Amino acid sequence: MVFLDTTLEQTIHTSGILRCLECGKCTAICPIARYDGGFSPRVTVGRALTQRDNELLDDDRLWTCLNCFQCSQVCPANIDYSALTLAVRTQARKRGQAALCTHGEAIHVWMRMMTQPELKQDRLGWLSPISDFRFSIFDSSPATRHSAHDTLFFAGCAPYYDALFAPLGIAGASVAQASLRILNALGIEPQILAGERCCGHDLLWEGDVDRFLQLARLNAEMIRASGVKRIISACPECVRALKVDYPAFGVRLGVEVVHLSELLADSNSKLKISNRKSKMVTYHDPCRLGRHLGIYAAPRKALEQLGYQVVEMRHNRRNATCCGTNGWTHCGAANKAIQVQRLREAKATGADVLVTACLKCQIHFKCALMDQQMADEIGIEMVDWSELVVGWV
Amino acid sequence: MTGRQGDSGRLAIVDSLLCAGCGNCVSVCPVKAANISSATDEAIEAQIRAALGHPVTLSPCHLVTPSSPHPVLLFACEWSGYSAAELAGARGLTYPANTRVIRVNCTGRLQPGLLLKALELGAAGVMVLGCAPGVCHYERGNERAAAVFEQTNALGRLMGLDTRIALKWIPADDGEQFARTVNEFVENVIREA
Ligand code: SF4
Ligand code: SF4
Ligand code: SF4
Repeated sequence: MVFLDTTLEQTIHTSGILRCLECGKCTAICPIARYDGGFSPRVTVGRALTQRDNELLDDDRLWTCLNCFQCSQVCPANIDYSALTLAVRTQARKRGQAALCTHGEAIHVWMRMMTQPELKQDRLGWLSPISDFRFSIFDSSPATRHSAHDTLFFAGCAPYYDALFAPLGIAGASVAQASLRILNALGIEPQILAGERCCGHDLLWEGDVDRFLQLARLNAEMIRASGVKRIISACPECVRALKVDYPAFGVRLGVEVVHLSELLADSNSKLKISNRKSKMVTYHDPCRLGRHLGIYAAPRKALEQLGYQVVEMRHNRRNATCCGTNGWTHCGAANKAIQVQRLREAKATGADVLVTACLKCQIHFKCALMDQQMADEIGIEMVDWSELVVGWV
Repeated sequence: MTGRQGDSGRLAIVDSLLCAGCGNCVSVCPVKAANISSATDEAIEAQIRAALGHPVTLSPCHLVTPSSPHPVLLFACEWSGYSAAELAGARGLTYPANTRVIRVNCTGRLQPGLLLKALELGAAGVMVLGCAPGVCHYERGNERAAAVFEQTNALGRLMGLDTRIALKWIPADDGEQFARTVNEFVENVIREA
């Protein structure tokens, strides 16, 4: 995906939309289009081609795409629809358009505040309940740089989501704790950044390239100063941003970026196959981990090696449906319908547990189950992947 | 507000004749489906901007440019904190000049996003002044306010801003308590700055 060319004119060439066959496969598979008849990636491509720029840029619906990559995956012309979305959003913002924020804008406010260089965060509280963790904290002063610790654990914004979504029963801290425990069990003592910022994923996909770059540069500066050779994260969006988007926008970290599940798959020998557990689980592929990064097998393998029986939903792996919402914007009836449909699929597997691998997916699913009638009908226990896998330690 | 049939097959309908005007529905709804014409997010944001000396032209979300810090904003419930503020004024009690009072129907109308945005836009501190437990004009709006504050404060702690956020219950008829509470908070904000 070519990101640097975010002018519409250039993106028309780089995204490949000139090749569009008008077959409509994109619209047929698009989860938003299924529930919102007014949304059609095929029509958007057509509009971009006919250069009806203002019509394109002022359309409210340009903000509802999930960037789930379902369409680009089936496109016979290999068109990169999300590159177009990103370019259109970037241009639309310049015309004063913006996405409609959910949650009273709270999440956007904290993402924006993290671009302030002088911000002094206190985000490591999740480390304190457990005393036997092995790690070092890098606070950007050379004295805290730990040269023997050449791996960085990029924890992600779980503590922030815990603060806002406590009423939904979200426990991101335990996801971060489980991840660190897994790293320790693999013999890795990571550095953790005291001043880690939001990775910028959501702002980027909303077309706020400037703030994305501010965050990327702040993170990159700390990462470089820490001297690590590798970054591990359990958050699919952080991995996507650091691994793909930072370099695409010219912020080079010069280190490997790995998702925790990939690391586990590579450390096969350390993960012993245990006895069949009584639990049957189903695994929801996050778009960013699956279609964006192509990681499907590794998380499943870890679950299976632990003895869980993984049963698949009707749409899985490359065809997995999105959790329905993206970037804390434009959450409406179509999004809720996608979530409900996905939960129905999970329920239909007969699994005891729905394993999520992205905190946001879990938040959106739990939100859909706030409707008591839905909870009664399709309620299912949800556990983060790392929280299950840590059972092996 | 209109109803729309969702996947659950049920329909939400609001009878505006029954609406008491607390605005708590706006606070609770994550997707802005509910709104209250007297206190929209936009209207409250405009007041925040005016109080902080920003141009009041409303920018859509994401287009905020922070300016230099200054006033302490007091979000006061019109039934308690705001009455107490008026009383304090009528009695000639002094409280810091760099405070600005924003009147809200009910402190349960607020949201973490609005309070944090005030800090983002440069407020030195943000204080919520509502009805004491058990005496909320809307029965349970202050419980909502406490929940909103809890979320805001937890987020503030993560960003090292928690000393700049506070929630206090103020009786409607106690101007002295209003002045004392505000003085203490502003002193604390200045000390921690
Ligand atoms: S799937 Fe590809 S070729 Fe077909 S209409 Fe959509 S963008 Fe055009
Ligand atoms: S990326 Fe997903 S939501 Fe966006 S148009 Fe394609 S299929 Fe639809
Ligand atoms: S589904 Fe997600 S974005 Fe939508 S209201 Fe619920 S938590 Fe917010």
